[in-house]
Amino acid sequence: MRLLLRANAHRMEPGEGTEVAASPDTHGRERWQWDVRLVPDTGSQAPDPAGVLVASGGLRLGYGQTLRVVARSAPKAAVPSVEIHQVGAPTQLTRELQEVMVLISGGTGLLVEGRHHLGPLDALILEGDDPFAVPLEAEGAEGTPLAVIRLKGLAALGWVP
Amino acid sequence: MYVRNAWYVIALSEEVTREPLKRTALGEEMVLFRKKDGSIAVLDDRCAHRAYPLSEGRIIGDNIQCGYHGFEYNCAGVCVRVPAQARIPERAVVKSYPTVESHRWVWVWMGDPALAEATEVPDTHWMTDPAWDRVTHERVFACSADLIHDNLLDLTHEGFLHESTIGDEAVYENGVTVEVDGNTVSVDRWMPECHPSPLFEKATGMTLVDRWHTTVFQLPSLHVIHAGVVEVGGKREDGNLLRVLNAITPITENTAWYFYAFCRDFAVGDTGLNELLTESLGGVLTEDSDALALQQIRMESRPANLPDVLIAQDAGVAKARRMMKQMLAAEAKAAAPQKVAAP
Repeated sequence: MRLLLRANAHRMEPGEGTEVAASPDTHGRERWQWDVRLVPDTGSQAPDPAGVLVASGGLRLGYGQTLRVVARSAPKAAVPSVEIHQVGAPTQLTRELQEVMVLISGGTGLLVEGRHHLGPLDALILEGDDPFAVPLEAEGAEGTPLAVIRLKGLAALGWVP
Repeated sequence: MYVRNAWYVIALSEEVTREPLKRTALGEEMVLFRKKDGSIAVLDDRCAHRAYPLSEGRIIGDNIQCGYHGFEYNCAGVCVRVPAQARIPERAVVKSYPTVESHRWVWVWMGDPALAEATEVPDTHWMTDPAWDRVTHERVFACSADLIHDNLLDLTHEGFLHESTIGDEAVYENGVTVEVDGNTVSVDRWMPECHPSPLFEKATGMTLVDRWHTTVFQLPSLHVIHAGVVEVGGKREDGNLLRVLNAITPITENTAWYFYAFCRDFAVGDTGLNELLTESLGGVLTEDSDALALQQIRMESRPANLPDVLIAQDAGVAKARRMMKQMLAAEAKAAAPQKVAAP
């Protein structure tokens, strides 16, 4: 089940930046597992909340601004990590079993699996039975910054818990 | 609670004539009638005088006359005649609804009329495009509109509820790509190298195909399912294409109008196929209607601490529910009285 979230669908949360994705998607219904947010890159990082695992990275957008990509998880659910790549020529990412992978494009053109076109801050989430090898390439000559968020589940992990 | 600032289908074009037609949508009773120039008026179905249904009255020119005491209203809902006296009370006005007739469907705007003009009616041109043929149905479902939205966003039910017509194991064995773009949720399923659905096999004679369906839900009311089959290895645009239109209009919290059109770009003009599709797809809708009515009863008796258990295939359902809540919250916020700061 791939989930393609266009930038205009992300949710602004006052004081907490922009929520790109979360599990559970509907807050309060199920035990909280993880979320991915974009926050302004102020240079100083807020202290990590107690009892929550946090990873982050700076995603430099095509027009120069940098946003901080923050992945958080419940320690009993998953371990988060954030990698920042510069995608040019065709390449491939791999995903592990029990891993949810969130891709957030920083540039204007990223092609994933040969068919998903990602614009600035569009996100693609892969989980469960989705492919474990993900081909991608920049659509323009200059390459595209890409944030790769991995949530390694301690058991089966998905977008819908 | 309903999203009101949106276009909803309220009738088929051919249902609206020079006779009053009563309809209920979003908990409001309305009367529809066709004016002399062929356009359509939609008014509150309640005379301002004594609340008698205007739909029990008659059309006079472009006005509707109440069948109880003869109050006569123009298409804007303004009373223009009171038979028993010359003076027309200032409050003798009924609500009128913005209305658009487009491709054989009549759409009504239930919210702030000032917002209607800036919002386009969704595209349903397959209903009248001569390059396409279609069969249509209109039903009242005994369930909330939300259950129909869930049904259309998770088509894995086809393999069980509709296994003799449009469903089989290929539907639930292939994963989906869910896309959220603004107020649209789409759920795309690609089913390579499989049998077409039983109904499609009967209609096309094809036995091994690549097939797909993509439900595009334009919140809060219209689902357009882009579906088709093509020879294995072919491109979607070269296949036999379908556009299945599903316009869902809440009547009350637990009933809904279901306006349905199954449009195809092949065998156009084949009346035999139209008859087969009309009967078969009517059966599909009955299967859905019966199932969702049962589901509605069970939902109403279900303890509050037992919410749905969603699975990965429900991603579109979960996203749409959340977006619907956001739309409702935004309308409620916009409608709330503004607080004035104390001096």
